[in-house]
Amino acid sequence: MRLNISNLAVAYDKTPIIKSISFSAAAGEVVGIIGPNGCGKSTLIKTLAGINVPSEGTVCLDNLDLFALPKIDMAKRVGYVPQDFRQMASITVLDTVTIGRRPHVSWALSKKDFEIINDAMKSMAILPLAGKRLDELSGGERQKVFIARALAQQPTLYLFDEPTSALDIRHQISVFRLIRSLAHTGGATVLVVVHDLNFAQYFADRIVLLKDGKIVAEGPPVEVMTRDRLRFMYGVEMCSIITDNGTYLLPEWEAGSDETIMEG
Amino acid sequence: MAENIEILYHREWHHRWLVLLALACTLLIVGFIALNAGSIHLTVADVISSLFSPAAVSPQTQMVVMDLRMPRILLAILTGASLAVAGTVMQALMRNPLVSPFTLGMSSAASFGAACAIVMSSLPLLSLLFMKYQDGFIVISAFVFGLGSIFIIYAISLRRGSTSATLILAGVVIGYIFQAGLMILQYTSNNEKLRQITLWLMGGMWGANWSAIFIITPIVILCLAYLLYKAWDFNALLAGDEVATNAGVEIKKVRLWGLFFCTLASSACLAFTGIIGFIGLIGPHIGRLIIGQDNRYLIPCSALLGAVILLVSDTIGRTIIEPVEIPVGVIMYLLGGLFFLYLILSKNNRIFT
Repeated sequence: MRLNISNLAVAYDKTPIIKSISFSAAAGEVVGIIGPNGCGKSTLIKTLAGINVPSEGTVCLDNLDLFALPKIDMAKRVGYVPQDFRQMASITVLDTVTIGRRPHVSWALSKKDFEIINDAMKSMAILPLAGKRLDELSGGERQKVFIARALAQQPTLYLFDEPTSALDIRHQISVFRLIRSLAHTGGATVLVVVHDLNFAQYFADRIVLLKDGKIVAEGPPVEVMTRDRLRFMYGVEMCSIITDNGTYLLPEWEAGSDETIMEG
Repeated sequence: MAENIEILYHREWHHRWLVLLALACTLLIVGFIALNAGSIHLTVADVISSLFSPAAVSPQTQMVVMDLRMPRILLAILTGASLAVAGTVMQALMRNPLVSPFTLGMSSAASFGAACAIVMSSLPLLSLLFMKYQDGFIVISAFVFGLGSIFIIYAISLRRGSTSATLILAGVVIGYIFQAGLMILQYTSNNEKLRQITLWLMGGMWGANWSAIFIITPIVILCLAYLLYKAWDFNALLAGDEVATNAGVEIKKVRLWGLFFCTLASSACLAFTGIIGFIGLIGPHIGRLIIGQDNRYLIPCSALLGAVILLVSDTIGRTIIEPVEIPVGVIMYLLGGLFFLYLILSKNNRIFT
């Protein structure tokens, strides 16, 4: 296994958010992480990206202790796409994507670096935006820029935190196709937080279901995402529609009270 | 247009080097003019000879060029460069366009330190000691207080949940606290001391001499070299703390050392010149307008810009109604401010946000 997470626990000011999580992911695999709001999905991803410090547990990537690695070596192996970009300054798209090469270069960029940057921007279709500033872009364009930045980093482990939250349906599909090809053709390991259950079901090889900082279920989508479990997780009745192209999950709009929904 | 990124990048790269080269040439030319300008009128030949063959000119000419004007020019260059780079880096570290050594309270703290030293020199016990070393004591006191204020701000930044907005607010508030101390000192001191304090607060290059240059030069070069070396880290910070962390930047460390070296360079200069505002705020912004956000180019560009602006202002200030000197700030705020307005209006460009 490429990624081994064992007994990982994370706390904010002594409030436990992640409570002893263990799971593994292989090379070439897309793992979808789903669960209700506040279950710890983003915290888990940020911890693996080195942003949060775990209180317990170890994470091994290719048999290396991830948190013991020098930051620069970790950066060469792990690429992260955040959920929101409120912090950024008004820099250009090209400058942003170029930051992805920072772990690999000491000062100047080589021809190969430019090829990588070029390919990353091309696959997100943002080449025409190269000279624009981030705050001139739409939310969706900005999201694509930050995905391209992670691509330019060429890691072996990708961490996506709701990578399509600002995108329209066409771009959602193309981003998820790209994510799948990163794993299936590129051989990377991908962890992706997904809110849309149908995307999770279709694009993930495996699903990790989180609730209250613990893993409730783990396995292939069809086994994990059962109606009973989803009702337990979200307090919403789901029905499946089976077509020639696969199975679709839809909520039953009026079933379940608002209280059960709000309480999660 | 799906243009090749490498071509685009290299076109910018050429443009950036041209800008840097142009600025360096400007600085050299302005430096030469500044050597030539002043209330003692010299010919161009005099200046060249005193630079390269001192034996060929009279000792007086040699002294005017090498001992009076040269240190002053070097002090202006070092101070302008340090303040502009400090502003550039602080703005990147905090991701805020309003940050400068001034806005983070450092200048107020240094002023308070200098005023303390000036006032304390009249205390009966200390006066003997201070009579001899007062200037040195002012320099050290201003430096220590300037550096201290930044560490207070850094300590605040280590607290959980503090954002860059917290830091900037803290800096502004600390500035006011030192302002209060300064006002008390000004209010209670006698005429002679008050004049001395006011003169220091105005800032100027009249404190220049070779020993000041020998102290400042290594500090400034070391600090600027370190900051330039960390340019990639500052670039990464512009995309947010989370993205920077993922790109391998140890953000707490970079913030601490970045702030430290910025403060070291600028407070070392301010200690000798008194308060010089404006450059730390406007230098980086002019730099961004003409060279872009990449700190690998922006840092040297800001350094050159700061040096040119301060040197031009000082030279005009001491020659325009010679032999009377106008404080450097007067010229700088006028010329720099107008130039900045011109850049914003003509390029239709927005800076930072």
